[in-house]
Amino acid sequence: MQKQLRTQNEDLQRKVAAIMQSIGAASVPQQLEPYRGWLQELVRGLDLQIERNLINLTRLGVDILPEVLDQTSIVTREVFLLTDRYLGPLLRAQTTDSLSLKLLAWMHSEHVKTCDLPVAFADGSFGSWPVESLPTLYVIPPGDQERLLHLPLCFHEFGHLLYACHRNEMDDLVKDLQQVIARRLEPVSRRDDKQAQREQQKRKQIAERWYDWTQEFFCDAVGLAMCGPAFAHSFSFYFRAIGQDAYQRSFAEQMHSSHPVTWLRVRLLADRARTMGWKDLADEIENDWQNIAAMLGVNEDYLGCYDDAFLPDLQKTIDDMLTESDPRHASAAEISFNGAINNSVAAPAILNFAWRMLESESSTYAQWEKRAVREWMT
Amino acid sequence: MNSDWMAIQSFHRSQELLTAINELSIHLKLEAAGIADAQQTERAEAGKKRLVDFLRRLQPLLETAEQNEQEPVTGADARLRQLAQRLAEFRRVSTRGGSPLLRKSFAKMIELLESEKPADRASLLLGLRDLRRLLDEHLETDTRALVGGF
Repeated sequence: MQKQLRTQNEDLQRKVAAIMQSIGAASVPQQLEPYRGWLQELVRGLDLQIERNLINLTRLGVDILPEVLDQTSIVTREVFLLTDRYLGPLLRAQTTDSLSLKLLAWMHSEHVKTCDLPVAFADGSFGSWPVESLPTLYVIPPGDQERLLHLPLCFHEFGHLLYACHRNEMDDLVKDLQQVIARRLEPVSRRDDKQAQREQQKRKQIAERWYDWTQEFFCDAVGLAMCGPAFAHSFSFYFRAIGQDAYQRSFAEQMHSSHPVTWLRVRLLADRARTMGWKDLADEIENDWQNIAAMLGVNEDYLGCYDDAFLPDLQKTIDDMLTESDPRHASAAEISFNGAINNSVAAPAILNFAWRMLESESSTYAQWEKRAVREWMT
Repeated sequence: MNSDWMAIQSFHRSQELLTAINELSIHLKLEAAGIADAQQTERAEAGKKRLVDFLRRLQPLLETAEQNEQEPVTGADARLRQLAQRLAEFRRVSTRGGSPLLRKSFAKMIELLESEKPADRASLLLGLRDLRRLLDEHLETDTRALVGGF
């Protein structure tokens, strides 16, 4: 066993050295340099752990082989994750990454807890890997990386990072909400039969599912606060034509999904937009979804997983989470910005400008966007 | 929008906890054999703190899972809930010969971690061994979700 573990660790050592060389040799945009630095630090850490494993294998007379085996597995999994996910954004970096990287770096720079966390992004549907002690790896669809219209969805992903950075306080707030929801789901009287047990099981499932759902609603609220109306436009536009699944799901599908039904998210976004003084925006997105739902022949029904009676407590919890995490809010000037675009214009200003341009002059939008991106990047 | 965020957070949490367990366990075994290693001791202390924090966080979730299966486990993500439920299951079916993690009150495991008595070392090592098994199993799901099966 000792020999096997030694061979295994020596091989890991060679692999890690090769990875380190690739990281150093990669030609990357300036914005990825902090990410490169972090990767190098991570690989050095793995190398040190391998070194310790090899030292531990020389300790005779102490039975620490199970621990060394487990530490070897830990390094092996880290190397898998590194090569599978974290290296790609660096080794395959292109000059066209600059727009998305500028937006992501700007988001991080605007919060005290994230300003030192490097960013990178990979190809895929919108998502992120938010861990408070690691660089954030965002995922952006290739078709949206060089365009302005759907980059606002990255602000939702930033919400997940804010949650991770304030986890203890956020978990407490969400726990309180889950308990309120569990109480609201309780029947007036309880029977003691199989049916009653099944109903109780469903209530438990719903209350537990609301942990993830509350985080998603919070992230939508972060998007709206940080980016303004552009976030609501982008969210609604991106998801409204995906199909019936965005409007209605069976109870089982809802319970299996970490995301609430998208139509419900639009309802909550609209509700929040109204409280922020954006009534026309709220009406517009709600009407869009209502019209498509009518065409699909879908009625709004969350099959007991949501009730309007939850709304005041839910929005109060989201408000408290926003207070706790304190994201930057888009200013009125950024939301209505229509001036000359240059390198120092804040991200929400150009994103809101883009949506207004699309709505007012859609035929010339593509040309405008190309010019706006060029001016923002110079 | 994908939900990898949950898997990656759970993955890192388990990897960190496993590292903490192994560092502490190696330290205890070296100490028992009379081998001094200052750096190992430092890593073990950091690991011990990480484990105590985590077990304190897990304790109320485990209590809910053990006391009433019908009650929702709140204030925790799906993966942490699953871990608490799995541990509750482990503790239900464990034989009398199991470690303190499995057969005694959960608080006992935290007490052992905080104990400086050499007499508690063997019990703590058994508890760490069982916690490692539990986490290794738990981690498989996240690893599969992130880098696929092998």
